[in-house]
Amino acid sequence: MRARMDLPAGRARVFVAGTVVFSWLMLSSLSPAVSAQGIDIPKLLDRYSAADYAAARVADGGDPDRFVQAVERNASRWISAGEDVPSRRLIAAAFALEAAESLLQSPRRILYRRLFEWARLQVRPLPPSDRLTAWHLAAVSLLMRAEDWPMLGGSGEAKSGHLAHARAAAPDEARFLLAAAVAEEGRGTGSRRPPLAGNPSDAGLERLASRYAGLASIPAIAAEARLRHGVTMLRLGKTEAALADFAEAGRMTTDPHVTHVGELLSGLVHERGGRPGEALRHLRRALDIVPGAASATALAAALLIADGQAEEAAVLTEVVFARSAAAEDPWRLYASGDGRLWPAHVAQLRRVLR
Amino acid sequence: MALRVAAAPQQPTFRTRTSVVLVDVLVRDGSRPVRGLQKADFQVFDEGFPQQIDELLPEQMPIDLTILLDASGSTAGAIESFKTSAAKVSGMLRPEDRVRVMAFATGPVELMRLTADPGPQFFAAPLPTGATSLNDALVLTLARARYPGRRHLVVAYTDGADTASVLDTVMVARVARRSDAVLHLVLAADGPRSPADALRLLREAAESTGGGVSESSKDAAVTLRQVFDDFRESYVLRYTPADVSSTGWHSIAVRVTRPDADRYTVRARKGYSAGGGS
Repeated sequence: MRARMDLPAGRARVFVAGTVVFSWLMLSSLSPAVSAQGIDIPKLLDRYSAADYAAARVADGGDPDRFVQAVERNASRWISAGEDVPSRRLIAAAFALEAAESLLQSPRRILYRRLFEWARLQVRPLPPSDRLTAWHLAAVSLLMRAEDWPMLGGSGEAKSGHLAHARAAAPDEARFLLAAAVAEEGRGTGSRRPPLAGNPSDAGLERLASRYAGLASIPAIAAEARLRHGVTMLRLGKTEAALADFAEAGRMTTDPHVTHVGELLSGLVHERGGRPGEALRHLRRALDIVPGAASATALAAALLIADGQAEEAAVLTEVVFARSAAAEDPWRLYASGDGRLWPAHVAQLRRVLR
Repeated sequence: MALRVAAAPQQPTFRTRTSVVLVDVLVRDGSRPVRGLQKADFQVFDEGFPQQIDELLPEQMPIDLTILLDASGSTAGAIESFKTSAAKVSGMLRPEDRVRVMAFATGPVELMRLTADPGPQFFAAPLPTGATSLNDALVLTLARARYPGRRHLVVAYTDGADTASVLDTVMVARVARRSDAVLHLVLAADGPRSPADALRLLREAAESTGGGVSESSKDAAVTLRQVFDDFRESYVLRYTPADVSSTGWHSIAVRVTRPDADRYTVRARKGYSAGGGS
């Protein structure tokens, strides 16, 4: 990253001291707009552009409301303070994305949208490039992580969601095509329960199935599209077609998220079909792929206990609790699509901005 | 409760295939536990056949208490209450008792491992967030390893709503019937609830273990104390099944034979699984 704030040290000290005194005088009774000045966004952006990414973690003890106001008011000064304004725009937009992501698990989660909107405005004038595509990949994975389907795919009056911009910037990016279908799936689901209550006459689900069937011909996303086609088949009550999809998806990839979920849902179909032995065979495979995944373990444990094999159930269950709190269950991440790819996408974004 | 009685105390054990069966029995007269009952005051039926009670075990049997907290918003009050109640909970335990704390939202986590010395705080680990997988969490809790010679009580604080489990409440009820633990559900007084039939199944699941369902009071630790005291006041009957199959599901019925027993409420597990299979 080349962006730096060129402020003489003396002036910087005076500026900072002035800001501190001003903030101290005005605190408590101050309007939010004024108190936002207590956060030095240009300094945070300098740190971020120098690869100190912790500068974007607004949720770590700061005041999110003031932080967002400060970004909205002051970040543009930082952007225009250097020569390479397009690069500085992208850096500031990346900073805002990371700050937005840090808010997702906080009580002020709602603010993430304001940061996202601000970031989107910064990148809108930029011409297509690999760096811009990297930003859009991270942005799309953030919206999916938040399961914010209206922002992602558009809805109601706001027909144009963020994906329209991402696809305009990178028309050949297959993940954006898959994301559009996942957004449609997310809008129609409303629940994370396994979709076994089939509705064979749902025209929307038929359209979604056609969409995934088409996407399954694109190599980069074929396995995921096939898996999601299978899930849609389950929603349509077509369990045999779903089982075939899960098996095919498993043959197409080694991605543990895809293969694990395929085995888990195959196990669930067999369990509901009264074939516990077959169900356990799939569930054991699922747990070989991702040991301790909570959903597959719960189903396997229930089947084992019903079969009098409580000892094996207990052994499997202890693996769940031996994992770290952050350990992932691929089924729990299924609904949020590329949300699981946020760490990878943001790492790539940081690399291209360097 | 069906436990192997004699074994090294620190090694986990699992569902027994032995012929000895232990049954937790709570006897109440109105809201008060009935104390002082003797072995001769009970009758136990296994698959409808009367059984000889070998022993009324002393109440000093050590207890493993699992507190399971629903981390979704409507049970936040209970969680806040527990954050400052470690001392109260520690005070409930005898030196030989142990406690652990688990929580769940989208997935389950163990906040505090099983310990006889909980220390000043329960919540060193962050609480999970996201959707609510109540059914999965109940099964994963009930499926955990048992320890020989100890009684296991699971007290789950929840609003009863489930938005994300792979398992349904029918499966929870099926697992609970076969669990060695006694499950007690403490339902949040407000917040979203499961559909009535799901709540009914959850209630049946808890009752099948010899546990029950109660509404949470303002102080979750106070509710826990009531449940824990009831559990500690309950009797543990041991019998060796006779004249019944050595495998499959066995229904259990317990009666109190004293002349004034008509006014008593008897709560005991509804059955056990012997030698595997259903």
